Formats: sequence, C-alpha cells, structure tokens
Amino acid sequence: MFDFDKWQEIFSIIEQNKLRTFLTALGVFWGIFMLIILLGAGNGLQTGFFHQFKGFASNSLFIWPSKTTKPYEGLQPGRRYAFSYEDVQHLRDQVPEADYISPRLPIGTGLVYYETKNGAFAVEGDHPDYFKISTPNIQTGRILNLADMQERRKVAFIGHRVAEVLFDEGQDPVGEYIRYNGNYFKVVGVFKSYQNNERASQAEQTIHIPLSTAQQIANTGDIIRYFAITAKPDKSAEVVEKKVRKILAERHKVHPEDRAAIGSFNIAKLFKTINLVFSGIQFFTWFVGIGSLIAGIIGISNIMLITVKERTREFGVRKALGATPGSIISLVIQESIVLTMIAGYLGILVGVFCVEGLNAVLEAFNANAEFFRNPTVPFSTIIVATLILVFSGLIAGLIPATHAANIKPIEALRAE
Amino acid sequence: MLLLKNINKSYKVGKGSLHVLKNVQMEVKEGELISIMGSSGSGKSTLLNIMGILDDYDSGEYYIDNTLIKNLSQKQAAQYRNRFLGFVFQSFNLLPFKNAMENVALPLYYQKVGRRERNKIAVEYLDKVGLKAWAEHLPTELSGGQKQRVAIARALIAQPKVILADEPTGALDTTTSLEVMDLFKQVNKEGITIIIVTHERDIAALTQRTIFLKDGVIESHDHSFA
Repeated sequence: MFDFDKWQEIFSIIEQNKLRTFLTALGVFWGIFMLIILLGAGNGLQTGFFHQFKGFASNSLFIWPSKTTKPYEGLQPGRRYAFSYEDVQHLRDQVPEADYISPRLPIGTGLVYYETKNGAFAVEGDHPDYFKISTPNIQTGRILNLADMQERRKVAFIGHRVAEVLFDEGQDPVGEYIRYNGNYFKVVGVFKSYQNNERASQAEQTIHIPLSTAQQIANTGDIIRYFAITAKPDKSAEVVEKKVRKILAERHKVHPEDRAAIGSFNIAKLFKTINLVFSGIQFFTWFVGIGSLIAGIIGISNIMLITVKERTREFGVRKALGATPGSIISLVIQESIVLTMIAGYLGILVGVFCVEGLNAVLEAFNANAEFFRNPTVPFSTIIVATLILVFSGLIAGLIPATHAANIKPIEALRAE
Repeated sequence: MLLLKNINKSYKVGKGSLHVLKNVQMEVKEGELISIMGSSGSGKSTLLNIMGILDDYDSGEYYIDNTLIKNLSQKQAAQYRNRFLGFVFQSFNLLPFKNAMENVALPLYYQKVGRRERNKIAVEYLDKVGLKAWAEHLPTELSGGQKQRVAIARALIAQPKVILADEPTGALDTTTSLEVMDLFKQVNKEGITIIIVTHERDIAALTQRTIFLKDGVIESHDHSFA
C-alpha cells in the first residue's frame, strides 16, 4: 500500500503548496489540540474531585437514629431511641449484600494528656471494620484490630495532629500512653489524611479506640451511635440502604413509613450524580473536539479537491499509462491521510506536551488545587484520537479521490 | 494489428447529438508507420481516443491484435492501455515532479515492477533515445525536443504493440520535429506499429501512408507519400 513512489509524490505535492497545506492542516491541528487540552482539563477536575474522597469507600452509606414522627405499636411520636450492638449481627445475617458493617460510638471531645502536654480531641469507638470503609493513611504503627476489640484493650489509633500536639518532634508516639478521662491508652498507630482541607484537619484531630472499650468507658451499655456500611463491590448501595432501614425500623419499633425517624446518607448516590456530571463534561468535550476536527477535515477535503482539479492532467497521464481507478483513489486517499495524520499528530504532541507540562508544573510547585489536580490524557485516548485521525483522513480524501478517478484522460490530455 | 469495423460515435450536444465518426473502416498492419490527417472537427481526435481505449464507441467492432476492445470496465481498459499501447502527446505530459528516469518508468510502476528494476530499464530506454545523461533531470530542465524523446521512451518501455502519437511535433520547431520523426522511424524499424495524428503535411509525408479524415468519414488512403 504505502510504497516509496506514493510517499515521494505525496511530499512533492505538499511541498508545492506549502502555505496552503499549512493553513489547511492548521484546522485539524487545532481540532485535535483542543480535544486533548479539554480532555486533560476535564481529567484534572475529575481527579481533583475524587481525590477529596480518596481513602473512602465510594459505595458506603451512613445510617443513624433520629426522633420518630409517627405513632407505631402503641408508641407515641417524638420518641428518641438508639441503635444497639446487637443490631450488627442481625444486619449481617439479613443483608448479604452488605460488605462491612461498622458500628461507631463517638464518646465526646475532651482533654487528652501525655506527660505535661495536653489538648482537646475527639474520641471515637470503632470496630476494626471501619478502617476497611475509610482506609487510613498510616504514618506509623498499626490500625485497631479484632483482638483489641474482643479484649477491650485500652489502645488508641491517633490522628497526625494529636501526635503533633502531644509528642515532641521526632518522638515516636507508638508504645506511649496517653490519658483520657482517667484512663490510660497505649498508642498503637498514627494516621494522616489523604486530603488537605477542613474535613481532613478534623479527622487528624481524632483518636480512635476499640468500640468495646468506648462502650465501657462511656458506660452506655450496648448502645452505639450510628453505622457505617459498605455494599459488596457488585451490589447496589441503595439496595443495602433500603434493607438496612427496614430491619432497623422493625427492630426499634419504628413505623415502616416513618422516613424521618432514621437518618441516612448514601455516598454512592452522591458519587453517581458526580459521575454523571463528569460524563456530561466528557461528552461535551468530545462533542466540541470532534466538531472542530470535522471543520478541519472539511478544510482538508476542500484543499484536496482543488489540488485534484489542478492535477487533472497528471491523473489523465497516469490513466493513459495504465493507472486503474483504484490506484488513483488509493493515491489521493493516502495523501489525505498523510496530511491529516501529520497535522493531527502534531496537535496531539503539542496538546499532550501542554497538559503534561501543566501537570509537571503543578507537581513541582505542589500547587495542585483542591478541585484540580494531575491533568493528564490517558494513552488509550491518544490511541482513539489517532484512529479518529486516520478515519477522518479517509473521509476527507473520499470525495477528491472519486473526482480524480473519474477524470477522463481524453479531456485531461487535450493540448491547451 | 489494429482493425476498426463500422465504428460509429456521436456526442450529445445540448439536446441533439453530433455524429462524429460515421462507419469508420480501417486496418493498420503490424509494423506499419501511418499518419492520420484531417482538419479540426474532422473526428481525428475522437478516432485516436477510441484507438487508445480512452473513449468508448457506440457501435461497430474494434480489435487490437485480434482482441475485441468493447464495453471494458475502467480497470480492464487501464490494463489494456498499459499492455498494448504507448502514448505520445503534443504537450509531452511528463509529470513535473518526477525526473526523466522516473517518468519513463511510470508504465512499469503500473505493472507492479519493482523500483530498482524499472529504473534500470528506464535508463536503458533513455539511452535508446540518446538522453541517458539526462536521467536525473526534471522535465523543466529539458528542451522541448528532449521532453518529447523522454515521452517516446516512456511510450516504449512497456513494449507496446502500437504507439499512438497525437500531434507529436505540434509544439516543436522544424529541426526538432525532424529529429523526433527520425526517432519514430527508428522505433518503427524495430517492428513497432506507429500511428501519428498530425495536420502537418511534411510530417505525414514521412510516414508510409496517410489516412484522410473528413467530417467523420475516411476519405482516402493515400500511399503517394510513401
């Protein structure tokens, strides 16, 4: 297909019309360049956004008790109630779609001491499964485990900020004892947040202790405050939410239709919406990108058509010497593809260079903003863009090629 | 070699039609060097186009070397042109971006002969027309006579049965014209049939016989020049 003669001819034609070729190719160049830039920016937004949720299972939901609003089974509305640790086992048995069910018990914010230093921090009782839902970025030591839970150990998994306040710089908190409410807790690990915002700094001021220990200290019996639950990877978080609500309503004598009595927040739902928004952005990007690419292709097609008209005599000679219509069509189409490819490839190159350059600058100056980070274009997109280019070159060459193939040698060769 | 039987051809002109060739009967024997003369509008270009398989005819039969040339697909026509015929034109029609050697080699390209091989053969044919030294030159660097000799080499390279020349000396001065005619004669001596369309009597006089065409009818086969 691509033999040397054709290449030679293609380049001689391009060379003969340098300025015109350049101006035409600019259209395709710009089209693909814009596509890459827009895709990169879109990816930057997306990565930035999802980074806010890094370390947090995207298919998780929270569920907590509130005040009842409907009378049920002889009970008055306006009743307050609480979930219990017993609920966990029931939920595990009856909601097979749930992956992790983690009961949580924040026992308040209070002064925490280490030797002479102290600070006010939130203390939360957690089941080890919680760290499957919200994966901590462990700095040193370990997370809480099942043995801690079963033996009601007085151990603590503390936030980075807690360690900063209570311990000297360079000191390893692991193995040290901190004091809260008259109880000594052995520090087993320190974690940091993946993010760098308000919510993250709050998380870093938290001390996690085993749920069982928290229950004992708070002296609240079997009560827990709320559940963090994830759906199994292939299951819908919404189904899990519905089932869990139903079971909890039954167990705590809440009217089945009393929606206000049980509060819940479904992150999966939020993610779905956000994903939809980004799909929209991506669709728009491709729409605009392809649109300007089409404009470029029409430009190339036009120029090719003019070139073919100018080369009427040449195609006539070729036909007289034995060129088949097929060979003429393939010549013109290859010319169009080469032109499109060169222009488009430069567009890809410059576009990727710009996007990656911006990424490198953001990285180097640690300037990744909260909602914009790591603008990149995946390699697969570049492959797709290249395929689109070949295809567009083909389309652009189609009309001029048919024109060339239909040239009658007689008319072409008549002396002027 | 060439046999035309009752060839008719008309063109649509507006609503009516123009009958350009009327029952043309003609035979050209192998190894002949003939000329076709006629005033403009006599149909000689149309005749040449039909003989060159560049155009269809309406009725009749046309044979090249006993092969009927009728209702061919574009591809077949291209292959027959390549195999049977060599063309020489008034305005040379060399491709401007190819050098002399590449121009000569072009018919072999369409026979799918490899690049090295066909360029080697092209140089041989350029040598034959006395232009071996000019192989690497572009057409713009050649004189009119040299261009036409390159064109003749190109017409010869596929070893055709017939060479069709349309006013081959129309753009050349007298001396160069005679040189080109000498070349044709030399080629003819090697056994290749040559048909020259011309309106110059001096040129026609250099061929073995002349066919006069008038208003689409063959008027006479004149052998007096021979």
